[in-house]
Amino acid sequence: MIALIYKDLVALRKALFSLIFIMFIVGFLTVRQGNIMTLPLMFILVPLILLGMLWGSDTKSNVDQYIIPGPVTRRTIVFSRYVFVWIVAVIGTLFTILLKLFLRDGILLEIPWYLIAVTMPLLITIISVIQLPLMYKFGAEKARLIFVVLYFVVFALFSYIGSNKELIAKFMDKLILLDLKIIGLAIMGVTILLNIISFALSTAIYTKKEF
Amino acid sequence: MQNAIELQGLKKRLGNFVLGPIDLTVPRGCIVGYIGENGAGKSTTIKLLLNLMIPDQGEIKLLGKDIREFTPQMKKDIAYVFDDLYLPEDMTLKNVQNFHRKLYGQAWQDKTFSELIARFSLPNNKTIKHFSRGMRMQLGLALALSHGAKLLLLDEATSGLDPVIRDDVLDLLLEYIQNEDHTILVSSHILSDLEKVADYIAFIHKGQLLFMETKDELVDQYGITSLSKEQLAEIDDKAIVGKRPHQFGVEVMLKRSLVPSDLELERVSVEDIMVYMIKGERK
Amino acid sequence: MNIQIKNSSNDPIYLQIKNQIRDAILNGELEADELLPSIRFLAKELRVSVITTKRAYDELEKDGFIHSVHGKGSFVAPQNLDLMRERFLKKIESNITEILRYAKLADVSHDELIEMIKTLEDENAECN
Repeated sequence: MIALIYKDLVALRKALFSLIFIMFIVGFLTVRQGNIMTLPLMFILVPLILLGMLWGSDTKSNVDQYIIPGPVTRRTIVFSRYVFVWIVAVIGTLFTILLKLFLRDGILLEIPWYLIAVTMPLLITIISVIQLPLMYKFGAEKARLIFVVLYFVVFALFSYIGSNKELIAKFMDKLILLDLKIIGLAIMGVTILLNIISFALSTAIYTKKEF
Repeated sequence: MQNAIELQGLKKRLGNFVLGPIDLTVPRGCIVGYIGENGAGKSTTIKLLLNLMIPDQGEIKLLGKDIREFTPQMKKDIAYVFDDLYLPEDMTLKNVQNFHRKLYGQAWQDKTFSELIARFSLPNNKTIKHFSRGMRMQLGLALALSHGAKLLLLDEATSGLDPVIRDDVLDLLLEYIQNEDHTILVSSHILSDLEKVADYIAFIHKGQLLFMETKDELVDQYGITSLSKEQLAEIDDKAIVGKRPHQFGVEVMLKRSLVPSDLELERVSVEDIMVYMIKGERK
Repeated sequence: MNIQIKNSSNDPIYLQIKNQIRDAILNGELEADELLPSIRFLAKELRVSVITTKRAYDELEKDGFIHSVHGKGSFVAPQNLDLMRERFLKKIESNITEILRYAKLADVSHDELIEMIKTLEDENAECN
């Protein structure tokens, strides 16, 4: 397990550095413009980008053929991919909470920290959770197409949310009527459920795969 | 004694190609050359052994245990080298070593690995992208030999390597087989120098296992000679394994037991047997 | 001990190994109870199959030149050298009788025979 994550990190070493660099620059620019929300939202794209790269690297090196006969189960190999996404989710969530504590941006300040703690994991993992079984099923090439489609969907969603500040406000008003803690629990439940279903699907697909 | 490999009625269909059913038993402590043309089914067999493909029918036992019951711990007893080193090319040798240390845990023999790396003088800080094919295979073999495996499977691992590196590989295999518990299966379409040390030869052709025999018996069984067409006519048809007719006569491979003992025959190599059998069948 | 494998030879490899070990035992190069190299080590050094070296050892054992102790290896069996020498002398005697018969038929003198032996010996020395 640790070996597999290690392999992924080494394979992505260069990409990770440039990604952190880019996020730093974007973060700096958006903070100066006072548009803090861009930064947490960027984290949603991170797993998408990294998974795409991992898939490319794995396909190129044919590493699955090397690892499967080794001392791991196929289930563990799939699991390591999900762990990778969850690591990104944890980092993204912690980052957002820190952002709330230090920067005191308007929108972030209104959302209680525990709501961030459950919403960010959902936002960060949701695309991967949909994408991973598709990637295992259809392979890197077709998955790249799906990647592009998903990218546009997410992008469209962002611009929609971005241009409808009242919508967020309206939504927030309704939410406030409910008990926020129950909403938080519901979000957490949905996140865990989606991840488990997705992992089970991916494992089932990968176990039958031939190389 | 326990067998290293046991295949029973192993069958796999891949499009138009059908492998098997194959029955094969490899005793412990020996080197088996698994030979055949490209596309004969060698790699498919090895992929089935390594759980990279799932058989349609039949049973596979490695080291006396059904492979479907293998735990990760048991998989450490199996080592394998493919025709290329399938690791991310951005890894350096140090990365590869760390990766295997984590992957194999207790079973990983760091000292053995370092010694092999030093022996091949592989560079420590270059990424494997910059390794030559020979270096990649040396690294692959060093990795395979550094976790105390009892069964070593090589799939076309020495094809296309230069003679000096092939010789290194041969040395390593011979050192490995000094332990009577160790077994090696080498699949290749060209055995050349490895042929000398093989105990058994298994010959696969169009998905069917034609035979598995001790190499000595196999090689002693046949002989090659050049004859005139008139001389050939006098030879028992059953004795002719294969022939290469040309304008000025014919080269034939014959079964020694079926020809007069005064006929002078040259010794054959395993490759000769493969070529003459395949060509003999085509006619 | 030296063992040379010649691919040009008509003898199978196991026989080449067997004969050379046998010769080394007979000419005293290998002494009684001396430990022989293991089957696997010999196969590795000569780069031949383990089955080949095993067959050579099996045949040497069958002929009484070596004996194997399970788990310990193969040892040179004590040879009754006097008996061996006697056997060889008998063989030489019978061969010489044959030679003398042919010499008489072809009218070859004793001096000529000795000359032939010397020439053959020199030739053999060159070959080796």
